[in-house]
Amino acid sequence: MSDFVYLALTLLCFAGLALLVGIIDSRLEPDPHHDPTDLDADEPQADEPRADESQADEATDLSGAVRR
Amino acid sequence: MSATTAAVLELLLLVAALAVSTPLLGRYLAHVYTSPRHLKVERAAYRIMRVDPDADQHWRSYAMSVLGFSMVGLLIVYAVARLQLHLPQSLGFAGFGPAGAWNTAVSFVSNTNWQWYSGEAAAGYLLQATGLTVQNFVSAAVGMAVAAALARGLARSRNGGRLGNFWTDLVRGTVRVLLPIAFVTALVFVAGGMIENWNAFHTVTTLGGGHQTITGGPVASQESIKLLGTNGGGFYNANSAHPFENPNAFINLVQVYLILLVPFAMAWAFGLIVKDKRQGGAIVATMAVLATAAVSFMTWAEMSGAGTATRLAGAAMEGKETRFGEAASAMFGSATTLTSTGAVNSMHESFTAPGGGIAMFNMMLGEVAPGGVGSGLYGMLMLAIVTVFLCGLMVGRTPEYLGKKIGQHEIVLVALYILTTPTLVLLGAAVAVTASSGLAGLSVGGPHGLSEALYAVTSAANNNGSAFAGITSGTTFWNTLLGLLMLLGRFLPIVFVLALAGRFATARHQPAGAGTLPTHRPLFVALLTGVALVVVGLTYVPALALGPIAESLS
Repeated sequence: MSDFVYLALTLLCFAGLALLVGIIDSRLEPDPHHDPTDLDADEPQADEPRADESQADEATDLSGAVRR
Repeated sequence: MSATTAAVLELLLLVAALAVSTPLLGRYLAHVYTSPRHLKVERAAYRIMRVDPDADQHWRSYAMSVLGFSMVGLLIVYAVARLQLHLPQSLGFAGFGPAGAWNTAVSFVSNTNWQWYSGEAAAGYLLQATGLTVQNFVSAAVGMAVAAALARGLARSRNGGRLGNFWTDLVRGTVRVLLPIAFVTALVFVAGGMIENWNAFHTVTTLGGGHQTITGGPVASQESIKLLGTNGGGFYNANSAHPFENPNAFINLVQVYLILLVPFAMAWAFGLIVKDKRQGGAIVATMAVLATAAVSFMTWAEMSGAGTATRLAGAAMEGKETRFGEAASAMFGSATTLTSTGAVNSMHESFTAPGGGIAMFNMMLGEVAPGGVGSGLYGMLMLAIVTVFLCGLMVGRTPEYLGKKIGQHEIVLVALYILTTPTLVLLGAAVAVTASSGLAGLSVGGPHGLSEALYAVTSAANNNGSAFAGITSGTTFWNTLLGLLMLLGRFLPIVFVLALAGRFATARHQPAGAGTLPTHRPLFVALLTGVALVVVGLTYVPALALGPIAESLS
């Protein structure tokens, strides 16, 4: 097989991995345990959007994790 | 001194050396990955790379940096391997074919160092010293960086998923850790009789009138990072069984020590980074328990030597160097497969069936005891999270690790991590033993042939790099299959680890409550050890039963 095939395979693999990073990032909801009203002075504020209530309930409920 | 006494003394010496160095190097590693200060040489590197070393990267950005850096490295090694005939110091060797060059490039970038070629008959000095040795350093530094990022993710609270800076971690791991230790050990190796030169090969006439080619090469400098970075790619085909690459028993022991040095120290550093030394101690203890069991069992298997021939000879010495003997071969074989090294000082195909099975099992364990530099730590931390999750289910509480709750997303990421390598191994083995091109590379059929194929795909997907020796893998089929397994086996888990680290960095620390499982006590060490064994057992035992177990019973 030619160089082209292996270069294409390399690009394909890394593009797939980069896509996976993007997918995971978009699927990961913000921290459900994070209470944005509770700010510590010595820590930077989370820069992610707030979790909505239903997401928070789903992720903190262990039985929900088991069901899935 | 009997062989058994020598084996025990050697093991005790190794344990003592590691017991001294692990806390010391661990403390230094924790400082390296948390210090805000940059060295002058590091600042120069950042200027050349045009990166801001103080930028705190989101996990997504950190992962993309890892992938981008590794892809560029892969393409560079590929180009050097393909074009080596036209480059200086090629020794007249032709460039690798496309499949071979790709396999080699993936192999070294993924810290696997699987070698389908004989170094002394195919790779010139430029390829060895610039393409391969450079990757030995930076691929190891990438593994350490990912582990440090996960540790920082656990240590941080409500940080928005920021894990630090990949380029800073990469440069520091290389400049402050790997280069200095590799330099000193290279000098020790030269003093011990290892060669280090750029001489051309010499052909001499032997006493019997025949001709023999005496090779040269910058061996010691490659050898030190080969072991320190748990890389394993040898300068010569015989790897650490070659006298120029492993001159005597003392250097052999130093090599085993180097293999285990950083992985154990990284686990200790973890405890310091998360500001709870006991957590690092528990991880080190779990690694030590598994490693001691593996070394002891393999040494017993090789020294008891099943079979008529070995009983008559008094030892299972086939495929082993007489300079090292059974015990040192078994110790090296265990160390190299418990980590992601893959260097060999004996031919694993010639091990007794139980001994070869343990080598395979060590890799299937995920190389977590102590594992590769960095990869061993994050692999063990993944198992630790599985352990607290299972214990959480048993006591009916939401599981947490180091104050971070393990919710649905966290456990999904861990499950993906845990399933990735077995999926690659078992699918790879299935493809290999059903395709005619795959079967053509095996030296024998039956259980031993399956063991050859299973060992090769296990070694590739776990980024180990050692081979059973009987397999002929320099074909387009094997080079492509194993290349894919090495690449996916390295970077898929890294993506999941960094995503999890980002998740942890976003979450806030929860104070320990009455239902919190202490993760620093002997009970947790026992649970973690059990989980590691059960996860592997359930996954791989059917395949092992058809290979080494069937062979040992036949």
